[in-house]
Amino acid sequence: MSNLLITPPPSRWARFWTSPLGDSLRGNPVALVALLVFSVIVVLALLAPVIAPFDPYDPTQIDIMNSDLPPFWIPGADPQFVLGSDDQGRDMWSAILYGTRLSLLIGLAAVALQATLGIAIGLAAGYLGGRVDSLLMRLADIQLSFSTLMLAIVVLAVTHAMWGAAVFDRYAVVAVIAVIGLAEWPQYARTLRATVLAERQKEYVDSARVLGFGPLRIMLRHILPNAMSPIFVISTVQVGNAIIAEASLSFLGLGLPASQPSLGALIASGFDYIFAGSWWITALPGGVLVVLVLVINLLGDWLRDALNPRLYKV
Amino acid sequence: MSLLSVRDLTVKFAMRSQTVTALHQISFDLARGERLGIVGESGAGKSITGFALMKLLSAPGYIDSGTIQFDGTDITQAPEAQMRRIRGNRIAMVFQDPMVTLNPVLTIGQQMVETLRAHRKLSRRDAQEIALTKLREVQIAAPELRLKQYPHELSGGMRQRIIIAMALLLDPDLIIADEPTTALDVTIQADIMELLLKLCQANKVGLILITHDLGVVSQLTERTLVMYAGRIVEAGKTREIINDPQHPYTQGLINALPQQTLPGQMLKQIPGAMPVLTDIPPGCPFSPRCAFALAECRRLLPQIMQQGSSEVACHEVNRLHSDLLLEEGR
Amino acid sequence: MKDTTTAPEPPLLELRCVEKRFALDQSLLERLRFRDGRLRMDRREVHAVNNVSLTVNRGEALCVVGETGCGKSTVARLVAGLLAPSAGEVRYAGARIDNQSRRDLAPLRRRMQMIFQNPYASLNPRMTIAQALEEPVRYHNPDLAPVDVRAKVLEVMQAVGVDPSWRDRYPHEFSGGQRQRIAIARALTVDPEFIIADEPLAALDVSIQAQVLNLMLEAKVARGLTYLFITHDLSVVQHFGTRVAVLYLGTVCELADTATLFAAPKHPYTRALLSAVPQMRDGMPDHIRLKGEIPTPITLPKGCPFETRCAYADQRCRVEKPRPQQQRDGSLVACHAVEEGRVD
Repeated sequence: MSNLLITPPPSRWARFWTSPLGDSLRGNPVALVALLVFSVIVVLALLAPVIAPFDPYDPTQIDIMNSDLPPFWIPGADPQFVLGSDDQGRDMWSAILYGTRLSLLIGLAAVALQATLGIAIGLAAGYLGGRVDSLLMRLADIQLSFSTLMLAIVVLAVTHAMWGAAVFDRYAVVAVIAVIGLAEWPQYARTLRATVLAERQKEYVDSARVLGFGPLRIMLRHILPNAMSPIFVISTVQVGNAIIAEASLSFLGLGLPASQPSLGALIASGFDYIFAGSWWITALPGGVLVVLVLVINLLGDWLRDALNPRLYKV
Repeated sequence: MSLLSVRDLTVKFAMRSQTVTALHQISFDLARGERLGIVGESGAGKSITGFALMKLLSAPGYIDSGTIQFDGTDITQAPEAQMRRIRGNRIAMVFQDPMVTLNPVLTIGQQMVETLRAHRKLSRRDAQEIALTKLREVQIAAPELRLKQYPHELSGGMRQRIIIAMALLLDPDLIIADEPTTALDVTIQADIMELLLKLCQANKVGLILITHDLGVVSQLTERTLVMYAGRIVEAGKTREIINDPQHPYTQGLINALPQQTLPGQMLKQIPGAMPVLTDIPPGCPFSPRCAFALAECRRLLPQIMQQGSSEVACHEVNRLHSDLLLEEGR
Repeated sequence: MKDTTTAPEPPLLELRCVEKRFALDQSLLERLRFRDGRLRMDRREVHAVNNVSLTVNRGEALCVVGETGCGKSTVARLVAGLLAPSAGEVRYAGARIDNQSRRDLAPLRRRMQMIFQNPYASLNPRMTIAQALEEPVRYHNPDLAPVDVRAKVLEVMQAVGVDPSWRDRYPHEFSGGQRQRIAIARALTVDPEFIIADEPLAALDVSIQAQVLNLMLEAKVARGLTYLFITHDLSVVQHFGTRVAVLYLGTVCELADTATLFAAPKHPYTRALLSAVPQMRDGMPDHIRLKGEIPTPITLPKGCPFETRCAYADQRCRVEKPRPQQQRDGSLVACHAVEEGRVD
């Protein structure tokens, strides 16, 4: 009846490792290293409450007498503060750990928001077409013409002014996530719409319609799984962008307050000292930020090449 | 001396996990002006044969062994520069999809003139004259107008005619046509086939016609090779292969055609499918599907042997033939 | 069972004067053109199907043949409900189906299914075979227990020759012929009575075509299926079809029983088509050569669509569209020359 050998289908992990994607990863040392570094950063950030020697958010743990201590390789360092301390006496290592944690949280949450919104809108626009499509894409165009940063500044400045610093600080994280998330959904919507338009022409969609399935089922169960590759590629870059966006906002004083230092806020706080003494306050978190966004972008590059349609000959 | 002489050509593909043999020891000759058909299904290796002859195999494919002699010269190891002088000039190729062969952003005239001037020292005007002559040869009306048009402005049949005209531009000795009519409607196909036949006969141009369509091969070629899983299983005069096929696969192919069965009855299908190149069974590659398979078919690869005027690679046919000889000997 | 002494059963599928036009220019800006010194709103349309009337009776296989641009795929999609006609009616079992909402059409979906041309695109690449086959069963039988769903799918797989061990594999692991089998199995999971087959063999190798065609013949006999079979391969038509409709530029040229059509084709286009099929004979047959090129379906000729290429065309053909007329042997031919007896 068939000339296929009756072997059990391979496990998911084995399937990934021998798939074109896994092969591509194995053959690309840069991507492997990037993945490794990224994993290390993520694990360290997740474990921040466990491994950080101090809690940088706890005012009782900060002693102004410990301020401006240099990192361990510079004479005058205090072994308690491995990477030195900032101008308020906070431990740099703990601050960086918690800061990375916050940056990652905001980056991933903002991207999750963008993606959900963008995918829903892109699916609807691509599949339903006609007036719905025109309307949604015009909305996307309008959204895109506001640059993310400008939108964020306006929204955050207004909310800051309306509700005052105290209230704002409590909801700062949510506000930043919301702003970055809402500003960038058109990226997803447009990309997904293009893919949906292409997939919609294929006969398996026609077949689903002839089998009687409704538009919602076809969109979610049939088309969406086939439109995910470009989503993965964009997402990696978008995470990097979101982290930078948040850092920029905090740097400008519009994002997270000093009591919840993210990498951006840390960088900002050390700005005055770059050439005058405690350069490590800016340089170290800055370095971490650069490395984090770099590996995310490298992973995104690799993913884009690996998911190239040429490889997905179905 | 034959125009083209191929001996034991073997082509392999160096894949990620293994090296796959796509062509096994292909041997055939083509005389000047002769029309040869290469018939097979997808995966049989017929297109790869065409590409290998023109040295157009791209990595990971490569010629592993064997020789290709063109007009007395061994071109198997010929450097790219030498091949470029041959391609288009002495061997032309016609592909299946004219839209892909023609550059969509250049006019027909620009493409034809470019081809001519790449191989000969000609002024633009002279090149255009030659182009016009060739367009008339392929019976295109208003050729001057066509020169200024872009491929997308023309119909499929017209485009294929133009491709044939371009193939003839430099008066080649050989045209390799890979499924030239498969993408065309049947009425246009008939026109193009007639055109090819007339042109090859008039200009004494050799033709290698690669196709899966036995009807096309029957009407256009003098000799045919039948390929299966990278090997030639039968070779001979087209007439004889169609009327009296020897190899079980050829017989199966012809019997599976709807014309061979009464309407409404089940067709005589060949069970199974052609093996993928990575998974070829030992012995004769056709043995799993063959109704006549003997024990030795699964162990031993049959060699191509002359049977009458055809060459066949089949143990059973060899056996029958030698029995017949024994009979006649008595 | 049906009482055969009463009136004969009405056709299962009926197309009445169906037309389908596709607008070429979509946006307002594209439609505005500057012509003859004025701004005009153009409306360019592709006339894919023009006044086509067909019937398919229960148990028969109507083949629709034609070349590129004849509209046969559009006809298939109109019947399947993937497109709505610009004019005319599509009726199934007597009831109109072209103007129904999706909800009202739901019961029809169990009776009429479709097999597509491209086996590489007709299966969802991200669904396993089991998922693809079980989804229609579960959707149309929501009360069926999972065990029964699996049993039903297994039964269909075995009927069609799909190895049950293929359940958890993905389409890209299979060849074209195997995928087409799976697609046929999927269509049969809902136990349809009517199958629209849109060039199901076109993408397959010759030896696999025989297998799939046999499969469809078997299914026809075993399940009493009725087929609307779209193809360009005349040898398949001769073998599989009970009746044949020849389309040219969206118009029916000739409609006849298969045997009649092949024995005595009347319309000049049918004759040209049949003569052009490569036979396995000596030399080049004298195929009827058609002059000119296929006119574009955007601006249809006023009279007979075939007029520009026909050897028998005259003035009447240029201005008046021929209507299908019943011939003595029962075939319908739309041709002035045939009507006037000018075609020998």
